[in-house]
Amino acid sequence: MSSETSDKKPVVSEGKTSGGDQINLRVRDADGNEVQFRIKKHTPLRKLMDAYCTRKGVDLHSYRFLFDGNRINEDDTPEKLGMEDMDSIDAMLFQQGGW
Amino acid sequence: MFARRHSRRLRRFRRRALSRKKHRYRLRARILSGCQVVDRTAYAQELFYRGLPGSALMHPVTRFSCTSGDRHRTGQQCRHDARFPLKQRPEKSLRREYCAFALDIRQQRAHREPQAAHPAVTRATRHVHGQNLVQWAWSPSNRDRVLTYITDARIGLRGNDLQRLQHPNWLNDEVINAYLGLLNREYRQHGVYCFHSFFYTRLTSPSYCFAYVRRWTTRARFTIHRDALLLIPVNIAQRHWVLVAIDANRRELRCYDSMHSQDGWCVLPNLRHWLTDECIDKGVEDPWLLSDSWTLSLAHEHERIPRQTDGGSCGVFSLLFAEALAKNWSPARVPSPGKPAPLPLTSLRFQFAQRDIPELRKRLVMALLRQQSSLDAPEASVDRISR
Repeated sequence: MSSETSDKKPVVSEGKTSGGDQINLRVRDADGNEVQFRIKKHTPLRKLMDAYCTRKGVDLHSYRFLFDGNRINEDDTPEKLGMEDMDSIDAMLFQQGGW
Repeated sequence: MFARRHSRRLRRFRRRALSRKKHRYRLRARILSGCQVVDRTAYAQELFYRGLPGSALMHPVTRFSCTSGDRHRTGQQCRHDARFPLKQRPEKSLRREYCAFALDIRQQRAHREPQAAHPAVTRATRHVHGQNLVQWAWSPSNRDRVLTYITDARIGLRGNDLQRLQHPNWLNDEVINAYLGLLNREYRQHGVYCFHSFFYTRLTSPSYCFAYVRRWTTRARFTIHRDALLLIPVNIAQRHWVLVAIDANRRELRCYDSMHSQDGWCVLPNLRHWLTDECIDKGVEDPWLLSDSWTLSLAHEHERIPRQTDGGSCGVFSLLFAEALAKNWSPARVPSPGKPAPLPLTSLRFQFAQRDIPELRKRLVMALLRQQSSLDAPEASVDRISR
């Protein structure tokens, strides 16, 4: 799981950067690639999801985001889910099947 | 004289026709702009039956027609055209029936504990119980709306996802996980625990790695024990759904595959591996679980299980397997007073077949909308569903 695209991308605009308010979150997909995001604790994770999907160039609804196996909804915040610095989020592609 | 009167009548008639048309358009505009309309369902239904000719232009979300030739909606076939001829309109008597049905549902709700509605569920949703709930859920105007929020799985199901339950369509992870969430709520206290479909994917991609899912069971407050039944839906290569049942009581891993294929053999060894890792990691000391003598098997090689003959229902079969297994689960050591003598997994009979699937798909929609895992709909509403 070497992070080939592990660069920092600020989701929240810099300017009011206070050290304790922001955390780094790693988003990894099924192939083991990781992308790191910095986000404020009170910002809805919708922003992170949007940024990730835009980066991947896919529709917003094609990835499901999980934190320790629990689904992340758009209006959840890192604080609400009890996320800590450098925690990992799983971005899983939608699944389907018929036969 | 006659000609004048005649032309006057004609003019009057035209004027009335025009104003009726305006009225209809105004209604349409009001419905689509999200304002309150008193009899929202009936009119939405009417629009739906009419194939949304004018409204499709008015509203960006519903910009597609429901006439034949529209087969690209979910990448699958559009089934509306054949089923809903444009001339068919809900009559007054039928509307009265919708109201009776709505009342029926409201009464049923009163008996349940109140559920906090998720803010994502649109306001309209809570008001609509008209007519056939299933057709309403499948109507094109609901495609992008969150119709029901399953708290246990933390999933808001959109009309888009529920449309996957129309007969030949393939199921996606949302529907599978939402229904397993409902099963979890119902049967967790009996020792049944359903994982979601990303568990296996996360565990094995890019290659087997226990560390990825190590915290998942902790977070769900689940520890494996002797009387547990674990149900794991597995998606195979974005084309097939199977269900793996881990019966800790009899030390069995069984793969329920509606196609009766050999795909299960790729899945079972990984889960066996996970089981050992999980026991060691969580410090389980039960020698029964730590033993090496677990049996791995494909269900169709040992018992008669329903077989799929169409090209799209394996997800539905998996859900039905899960429901039957969870419902009939009773560990051998602790017979519960309310249930009959415990059955081993092998002697379970699945009481459905391919011919029941279209009906059971509708029942699944009902179950998801009502947030109850039971598929035995009361007689009255079955009649209405099957119409």
